[in-house]
Amino acid sequence: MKAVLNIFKGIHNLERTVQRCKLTLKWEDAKLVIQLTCHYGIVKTHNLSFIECDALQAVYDKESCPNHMVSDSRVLLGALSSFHQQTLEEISFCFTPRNLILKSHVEEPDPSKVVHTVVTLTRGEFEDYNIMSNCELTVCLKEIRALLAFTGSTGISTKAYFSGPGSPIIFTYDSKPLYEGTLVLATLVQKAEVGTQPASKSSHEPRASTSIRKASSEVSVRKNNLPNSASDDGDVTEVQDVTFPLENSRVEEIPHQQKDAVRDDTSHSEPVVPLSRNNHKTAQEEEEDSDTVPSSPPAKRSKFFFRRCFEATFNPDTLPGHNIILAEDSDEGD
Amino acid sequence: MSIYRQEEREINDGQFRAKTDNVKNILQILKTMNFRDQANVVLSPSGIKVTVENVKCAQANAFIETDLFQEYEIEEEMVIFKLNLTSWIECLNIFGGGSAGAASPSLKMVYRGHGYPLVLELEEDGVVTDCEIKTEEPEDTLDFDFFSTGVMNKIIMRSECLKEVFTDLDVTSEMMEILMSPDAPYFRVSTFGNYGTSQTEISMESELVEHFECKQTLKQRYRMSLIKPSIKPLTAALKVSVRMDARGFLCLQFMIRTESHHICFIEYFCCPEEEDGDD
Repeated sequence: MKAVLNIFKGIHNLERTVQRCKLTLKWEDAKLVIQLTCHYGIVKTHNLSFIECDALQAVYDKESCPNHMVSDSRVLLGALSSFHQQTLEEISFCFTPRNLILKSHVEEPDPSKVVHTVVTLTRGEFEDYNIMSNCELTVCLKEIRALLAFTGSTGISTKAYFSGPGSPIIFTYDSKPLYEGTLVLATLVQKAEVGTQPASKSSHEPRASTSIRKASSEVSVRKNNLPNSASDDGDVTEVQDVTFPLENSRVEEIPHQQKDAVRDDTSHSEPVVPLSRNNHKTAQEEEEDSDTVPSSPPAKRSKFFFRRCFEATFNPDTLPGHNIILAEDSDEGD
Repeated sequence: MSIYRQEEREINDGQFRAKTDNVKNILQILKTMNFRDQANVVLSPSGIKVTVENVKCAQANAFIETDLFQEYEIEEEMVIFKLNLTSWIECLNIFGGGSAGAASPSLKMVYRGHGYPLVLELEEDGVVTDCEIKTEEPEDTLDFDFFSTGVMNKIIMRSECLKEVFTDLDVTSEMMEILMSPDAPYFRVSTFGNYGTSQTEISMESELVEHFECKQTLKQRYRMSLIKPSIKPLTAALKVSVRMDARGFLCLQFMIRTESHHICFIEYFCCPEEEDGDD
């Protein structure tokens, strides 16, 4: 691919200078000849060697997919632009009959370390939207972005056919008679639930905050399983009724009546990996938090404020008043 | 104040003095040559010639003529020394690029003689900087003896087409082959990279070719690493002349228009790559 890309790089330049492009396949020499006829009598010829290879045959059938969606590629592309390009590898498409929620998918045990993005598109944004059942598909972001960049620039629609997680999602586009394309992407299989997730917490507790959030069940799960985890979480969950945290972003505000839709969604979808970190808490969780004692600040913070103490040259004996003890050490085991 | 006057007197007693209002002209030319640290400098009544050599296989010469300077005085017929080109460029650039509208610094250069440093005095908006660059014994430079064989193919073309060819060269290719011929394809540059070969042909009928004179078909390969330094002066040039002699030596001449619209020339010589690997 690299060789061909090199030849066609600088597309704007090519548009201006190249008048004709001729592709010839020479079987005997195993060469693909690309000849670009440019302005001013300049002719560029590239002879690229090729080798035979086994073509990968994907097994898929778009006719058998119960769900499908047709969208203007630019709409999807615009939604994807909210996701951080360099670091994010996978994205989750959560389809419900009412809307499509795009979420960043990161395999990171500590959600406070990464930026999570959630973008929601209502069914009205699509040219055709036909979802039989909710499903959540996680795919590789790079590939779908590349496809949409192409279809978006040419202004054609992208169709998606899918059945459920674990089965491929098929994106197609066509602009006959010029070209048509199909992109078949594997989707992540849903993993088993993580730890003890009390089902009650996910959907039935009254919501403390008025803004819509994704299921917070993952937050409680983590607190149970990893008591020593960075207390950034601890800090956050103590904050009540917070409006949007900086990390979460939305394309549009969702009116209240859609709360149910979201809640239904969460009861169906099982967390593959804790997805979005958020400040949502149920009333029950808030009560619990007021009883817990705030744990020590995360190592990072203490290292920042007490920087000098961690330096090799630090000698506590040099501090004036070091021998005055204000509080004795507490008993061990406390 | 008295110290300053004394220094001024010293500066004026040199073998060579030159003054220009715009240092950017010289800076632009020297920057394109900076593929090596050391350069030979020849000061003569017709101007300054700077020579940079590349592993004894390639050579770049820049000619900075006297009309670039407001004042140009030299006592000897020819003065030669070697100095660190990178340092020279850094000193000339000491006031930075400057914004488009800003006054450009003026430059005064003085060389007192053998063993003395090259003294630079740059002034911009009342701020004066002076630098001294140590000079060394000049190195022997190659004489490519280009005109001796008599046979030569020469093409003069506008730099745009060669710029496109050279900047798009396949970086995985070690060699670059140049063909110049009175018959088709007239002028062809080929590279042999990891993925395959690429060729660019420029026809003699092209509008960008201003002068075409090829007596025989000459085809020669050159090491890419030796040709690469010529890309910098090429990008700064308006026109380029490509010449190849019967031995296969390549001479590229770049016509550069400086900021103050003076014309300067940079020459680039390159040895061909021997086919059988013999020395």
